Formats: sequence, C-alpha cells, structure tokens
Amino acid sequence: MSMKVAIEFFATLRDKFGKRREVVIDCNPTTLRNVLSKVNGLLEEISENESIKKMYKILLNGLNVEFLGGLDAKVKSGDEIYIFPPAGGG
Amino acid sequence: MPLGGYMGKILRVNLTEQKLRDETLPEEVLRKWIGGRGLGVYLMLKEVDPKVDPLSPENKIILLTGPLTGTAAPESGRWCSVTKAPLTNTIHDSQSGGRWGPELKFAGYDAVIIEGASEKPVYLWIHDGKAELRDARHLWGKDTHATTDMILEELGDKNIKVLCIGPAGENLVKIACLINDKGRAAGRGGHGAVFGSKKLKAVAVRGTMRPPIADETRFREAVRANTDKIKKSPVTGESLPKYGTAVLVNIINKHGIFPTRNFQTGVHPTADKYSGETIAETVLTKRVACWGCIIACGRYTRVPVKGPFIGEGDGPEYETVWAFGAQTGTDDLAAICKANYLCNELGLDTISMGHVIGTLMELYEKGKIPAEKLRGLEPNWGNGAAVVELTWRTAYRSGIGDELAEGAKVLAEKYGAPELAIVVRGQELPAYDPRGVQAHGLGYATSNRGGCHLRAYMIAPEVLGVPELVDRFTTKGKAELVKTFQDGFAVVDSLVLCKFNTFATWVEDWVDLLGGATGWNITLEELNKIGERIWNAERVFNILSFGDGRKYDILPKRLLEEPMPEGPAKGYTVKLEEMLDEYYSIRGWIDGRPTRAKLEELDLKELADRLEAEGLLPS
Repeated sequence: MSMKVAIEFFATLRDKFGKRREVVIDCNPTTLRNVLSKVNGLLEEISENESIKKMYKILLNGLNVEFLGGLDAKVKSGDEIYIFPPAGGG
Repeated sequence: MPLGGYMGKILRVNLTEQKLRDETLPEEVLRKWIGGRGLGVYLMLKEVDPKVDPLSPENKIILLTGPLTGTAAPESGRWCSVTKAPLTNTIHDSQSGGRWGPELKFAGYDAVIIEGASEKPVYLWIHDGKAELRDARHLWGKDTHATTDMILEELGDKNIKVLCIGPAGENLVKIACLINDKGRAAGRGGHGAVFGSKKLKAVAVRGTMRPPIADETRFREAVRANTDKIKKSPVTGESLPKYGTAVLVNIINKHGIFPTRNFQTGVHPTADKYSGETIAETVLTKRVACWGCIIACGRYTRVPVKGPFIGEGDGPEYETVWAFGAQTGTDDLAAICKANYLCNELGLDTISMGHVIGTLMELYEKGKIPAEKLRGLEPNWGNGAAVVELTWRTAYRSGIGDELAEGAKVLAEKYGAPELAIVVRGQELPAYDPRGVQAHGLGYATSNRGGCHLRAYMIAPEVLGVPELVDRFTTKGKAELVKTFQDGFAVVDSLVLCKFNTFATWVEDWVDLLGGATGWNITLEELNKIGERIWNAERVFNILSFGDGRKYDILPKRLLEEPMPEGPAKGYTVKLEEMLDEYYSIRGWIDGRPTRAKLEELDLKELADRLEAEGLLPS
C-alpha cells in the first residue's frame, strides 16, 4: 500500500537541502523517523542521540511533534511535515 | 565610584515658553526605575495628570535612553518615547532602533522631556551639551526623508541623526509614528500625533561624548559573556541575520495562527510569496544594523519591477508584511513593500496601518461602507493597489483616510460593527492569532499599552521553544509565564536593550551589564523587582486615566467565541477566563488592579495613596 508524505523545508534548510519540498513515497503508515530517513542526510541533521535537536521545530500537520511522540510520531498518507531551523522575530 | 552609564543630564523643553533647561535626576530615582520605559513612567506619573487629553499641551512626550545605550553592551543602540497615547489613552512607550538613541547620549543627554505646545512649527537641535529650538516652518508638510535631508543640509553635518514626524503626525493621525534615521520607528500608539499637536517637527542630535563606565572589568566581562551567547544562539547568530524577522511568516502560517483577513482565519495559503526567504531572494539589497549591533536583522529592499509599486527603503519587517499581507488578503510583495516605504516616509505605524485597512475591507465586504465615501475605490481583499492608496490617504486624512486615521475601533464603531475591531484598549492586534497560542492571548488582553505582542512575547515559548517549548493549546501555568515575560521585558525596555537579546540571554545575564556600567551593587532580585514595579506603575497610570481593570483585560468576541475555522488551530478560542484569575492572583491584584499591599511591597506607597484618594484602590 503506497503512502505519500510531503516534507517542506524553510529558511536555512532550503539552502542545506537544496529544495523547498520533497515528497516521500513509502509503504504502510509509519513513523516520523522512518520518513525523515528517506531524505539523504536529513535525519542526521535534525536529530542527536535518538531525539530531535532542540533547535529544530518539526510540525506534523501544523502540530509540533514534541507533543506527538517526537521521532516516534505516527505518520500516514497525506500528512504534511514542516521543518523549521531556529528563528525569531517580533 | 562615580555613577557610570548615564550622561547625568536631562533636557527639559517647554514649547509654550520656548525655553530649554538642563536638569539632573537623583541617583535613587535612577536606581528605582533605571531609564527608558521605567524612567518614562516615573516621570509621567510625577508630572502629568493621567486624565489629560493626549493631544493637548498638558500632555508630555519624553524621549529616553538607558544607562546601557551607546555602550559596548550588545544591542544597545536603541531608545524609546513615552507619553499618554492618543490611540489608547494609556501610558505608552514605543521602542525604536537605528542610530538616534546613542547619539543623544553622545550629545550629553539621557532624556528629553517635551512639554507644552509651540505656536509655530519648530525643531529641536541638541549637540555636545547644548540645545536650541529652531524654526521648522520650511519643514512642515515635508515627509521624513526630505525633513532629514534638509536638516542635515541646514546644519552642515551629515553625521547628525534625526528623529521626526511626517505629514501623518502633522495631521494628528492617531496611528502616526516617530521615524528616526529615515526608516526606524517608534511605531505604535500615535506618538507622531503628540509631536504634531505640539508643532514639534523633529529632534536632531549630534555629539562626541561617550557614556562613562564605572567598573570596566565587571562590564567588559559581562559584555563578553552576553556577546558570546548571542553569537552562539542560532536565532540571533544565523536566522535573524540571514532572513530578518520575516522568517516568521512561514513558521506562524504553518502553525495556523497567521491572522488572515481581519482575524477571520489563521492561514494565508500564499504567504510564502512575501516570506523572509522570498524577500532574501528577490527584493533584499542589503542587511542593516542598528548602532553597535552584531545581529543586523534589518532589511533594506528595492522593488525593481517597473510598475506602480517601484521604490526602495528600510524594511519590510515581519509585522509589516503581515499587516499589508495576510491582514488585507494581499500576497503581492511589491505592493506590501510600497506600502511599507510610504509608512516610513509619511510617518505611519505599519502594524496599525495594515491592520486598519483590513478592518475597512471587512466592513466593505459586509456592505457597511457607503460608496460615496470611497471615491471609486474598491477595497477588496487582496487589492494591493487599494492598500497603497489607503496608506497615503490616511496620512493626509483624505477621503476615507480621515476615518482610518482614527484607528480600527473608531472606524468599526462608526459603521455600526464594533465587533469587527480586533483591538485591546483601542490598539490593533498584531501578527499572531491568539486562538492557537493561549499565553499570547493572555499577554494581549493584559497589555498596559493596548494590543501588543511585545509586552509579553509568548510566541517565544509557545512556538519557538525559547527558552523551552510549552504546549500552545493549554492554559495551565500560562499566567506565571506571562508575568515573567512582562516583568523581564519591562527591564529590557528600561536598560534600553534590543528585545532580540532575549533569544539568547535573560535578566540574570544583564545584572552585570547594569552593575558594571553604573557601579551599582545591583542583584538579580532587585532587577526583577524593578520590572515588576514598572508593570504595576503603568497599570496605576491607566487606572487613574480611565479606570483600567478587569473590564479592559479582555479580547474581542471573535477571539473568545468564534472557533478558529481551519488549520492546525481549528476549533480553538482563547480561554481567557481560565488564565485571568490566576494571573491576578500571581500579580497580587484584584480585578485587574494592584492592591495596597502589592504597591507598598514595590515601594510605590504614593501610588496606592493616589488610587485610594480617587476610590480606585481595590480592597
């Protein structure tokens, strides 16, 4: 069963990964960790010691994954993942 | 050791009598209120009847620096203006960057108290310990760029720094601002109109002095420690310099809290067209830094595309692209930039200007605006040309602009739809929909200067994870968090430091900056207490002004009763009542008013006496 999940990159991540959006195709509902591992270098960039680095904000359908189980968050087809590097403003 | 940090002189300018006088303040006053915002509220409470009409000669407007301004302390290139604001009738401080603040200190002064009103337009010229009023009749009517250029030419020194109003302030537009260095703003509340009512066109400063540092060793070590943290923080060290504040557009939009079409929803699907990333790729020509700043988050942009929106100038910032973007349903970056440049030149607050245009657009959509008022204009959502036209019409009080000039609350009430005014204490809410960030909603509601995101920037913990990420949808523990931010930001605004320090440092890091510069044996506990004192004093001013209290610590019905219709925050409203009682309890207030016990704890017995004398002290 095929599953499509979109990952969007913002700010400095657009330069780092050379793109704004990547669609990951996989089988079965899966975890965030698994989806991110499908993009070259992404899991290594955003995680450290099995958890998401504090400075990255990862949203799953607009909700911060820290409240959804972090890298173990359940991801299904049609989900949107947004990854933000540290940012601030007013 | 002699007191350091301060220049030791205040300039008092009486515009009615056209007289200037140097004054000093006792050290115990400075120790109690520091400078900037805190010193401003102290002086306003001491010298101005809180019931005064903000546009009358009896109001005062005070331009202030702090003991750290113009020193090596990081991000100390700022200043502020304190007055009773015409938009809100509250005590109101407005903070600005650029280069004007340090130059005032280099010219020998910590602050300038402006009182009375001049019969004819004048400008103030302060240079190396001397000051004079000069004829400004030839400047009256000129925009801020022309005013600045003409003053520099007249006085013969291109290193002079100028703070001025444009036509908006002259026309007493309630959302008119002060512009310094051609593109920095003491934006909110209508301080520009106060200058206009006093016929004060500009304040030019130039100096060669430097603030003394009392304890060089302690100060230098504190500077090193703070600078280190700022450089290491990825927010201040990488993101802000590269993308500026508009890097927030995509973040806030994807969290579903990007107020769109007058807070009708929290998602603007095409927002990336005017994000910080897109600005960096298209219209950005250079980064700009305030005096002494190592972050350099400022933008200078140019719209190169031939057409009606061609132009260039400072900005646009996050709040600005939101106000002219999602708030009006526009996604044309060129139009957004053009409106921003006009605000710089005409002297208008970009947040309130864009916001009020959105208010008009919803009124128009609902058929509330008579056609003859619009002179053929069609303020539809997303109409970038209308956004630009309405901006200059507001500055000149031309056509419907005369009504936008009064602010969203008056505009909506006039056309029979007061519920469409998304304001707190009369000031238009900025670029975050609180239905998806509960603490930020409490911050909005309890803000002493009206709808403001910077009294307590709760986006930091609830979205950005600074200092730690908290659940933005819950209300538990939020009251305590809001108080901490409110008191801490009162300290930042009084030292005067840039709030972007707070992405890397906090009050405990600034103790040695202040202690080193001044020579005081100040502690963290004392500094925290000063922040709390300032917050309470501001609330007292407002209580004396218009009976501030629980009745005013509210949010518009839309945010309390209409659930967010779509996006990640779908279904939420602000659960204000759940947080408000706890907030009052933590503050030691009853129904939004400080008790005598709290005021006396903060060494504000005389304020408790004043409240009691008018029957306004809660028991």
